[in-house]
Amino acid sequence: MKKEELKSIGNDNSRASKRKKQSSEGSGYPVNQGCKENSGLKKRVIIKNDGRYLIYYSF
Amino acid sequence: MLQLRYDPIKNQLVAIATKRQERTFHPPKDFCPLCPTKKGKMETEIPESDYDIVVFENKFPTFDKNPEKVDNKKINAGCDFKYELRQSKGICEVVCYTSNHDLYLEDLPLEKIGNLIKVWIDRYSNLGKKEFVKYVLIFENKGEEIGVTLSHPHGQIYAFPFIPPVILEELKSAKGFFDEKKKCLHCQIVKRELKERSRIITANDDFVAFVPFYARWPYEAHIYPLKHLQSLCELGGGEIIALSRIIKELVNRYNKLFDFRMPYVMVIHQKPTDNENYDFYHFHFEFYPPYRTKNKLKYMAGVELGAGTFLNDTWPEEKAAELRNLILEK
Repeated sequence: MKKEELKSIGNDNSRASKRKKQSSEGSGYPVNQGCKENSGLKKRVIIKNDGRYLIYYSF
Repeated sequence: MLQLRYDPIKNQLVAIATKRQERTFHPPKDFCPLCPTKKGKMETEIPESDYDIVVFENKFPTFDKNPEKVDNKKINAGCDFKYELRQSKGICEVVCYTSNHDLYLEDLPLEKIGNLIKVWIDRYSNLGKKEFVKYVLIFENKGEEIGVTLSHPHGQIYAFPFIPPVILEELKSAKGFFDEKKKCLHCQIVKRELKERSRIITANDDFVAFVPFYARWPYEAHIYPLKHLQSLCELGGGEIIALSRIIKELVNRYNKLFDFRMPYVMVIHQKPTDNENYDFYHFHFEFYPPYRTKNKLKYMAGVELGAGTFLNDTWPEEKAAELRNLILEK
């Protein structure tokens, strides 16, 4: 594996990152493509005193 | 202090996370930070008195969504050879499977394991949408032998700012195979395992669990969907229950094997979340239990750590038969 290959994945300014931005505008392969069970979850988000989030999932 | 340091020799990133040294270490049950907060007692990580499933940001993370800036100029000032730092930008989450401190994943009813899978899907999808997240690793470390410091049933999620090296290798192999044969490498492995059957542990209509032909750990097991799917997101309701059933059965077989709760590392390998095309990839679970006999552990030592080659003292076919032939109580 060449260093360049790792860099193209690890750098936020990389081509991969740019493609991710473009995908939200309609191109690329979004992460939730083909999702079947990704809706209808009951969840509640709170922010803790130190700024961390916590999510309660209810079923 | 969190930062990523680039190793130019191994072409890998190393995550420096010094705050993790302070993490809670085997607290007594009454002070478990993952239990719900009891009336009149000290607040735990979870303020409410009960919960189904909770996810929160790890207090002792490896990555941070707002990391400190790194200064490569400063560290390399006056040096001909340059080292490289990168921002450790990512998210680390803890997933509490149940409010009951004494239950384990395999003790939960199928419906509740199914709920956990739905939470995994939700986190994979939501974390994966973030611009800086290139890979979402969902995993569970179980047992003190693995280094677990909290016994409450929980797993973790790391939202990586890069695709980690083990996944990169898998992707390269799968892509190379697909480009040459126009077939999924993982599908071919599943097909052969189902045909030979000697390494199968168990199977149902949608999933199969087997000890791989190339197992590195004596009781290593992989769970694959029979359908060619790239992530948990693509599972339907029936498949989620089928996955719950096979996870529960596999872990119960592990527990029955030596009559104790088998420690393990469980990881879910899914497609990266950098919006590239990974149609050639096939998601799966990998389990690495550290025991090689009832009272002997397998250690990562010179050849594994120093050369990257695993030594397995056992035949995968024999270990699969041991797990397959156990009779589980209904």
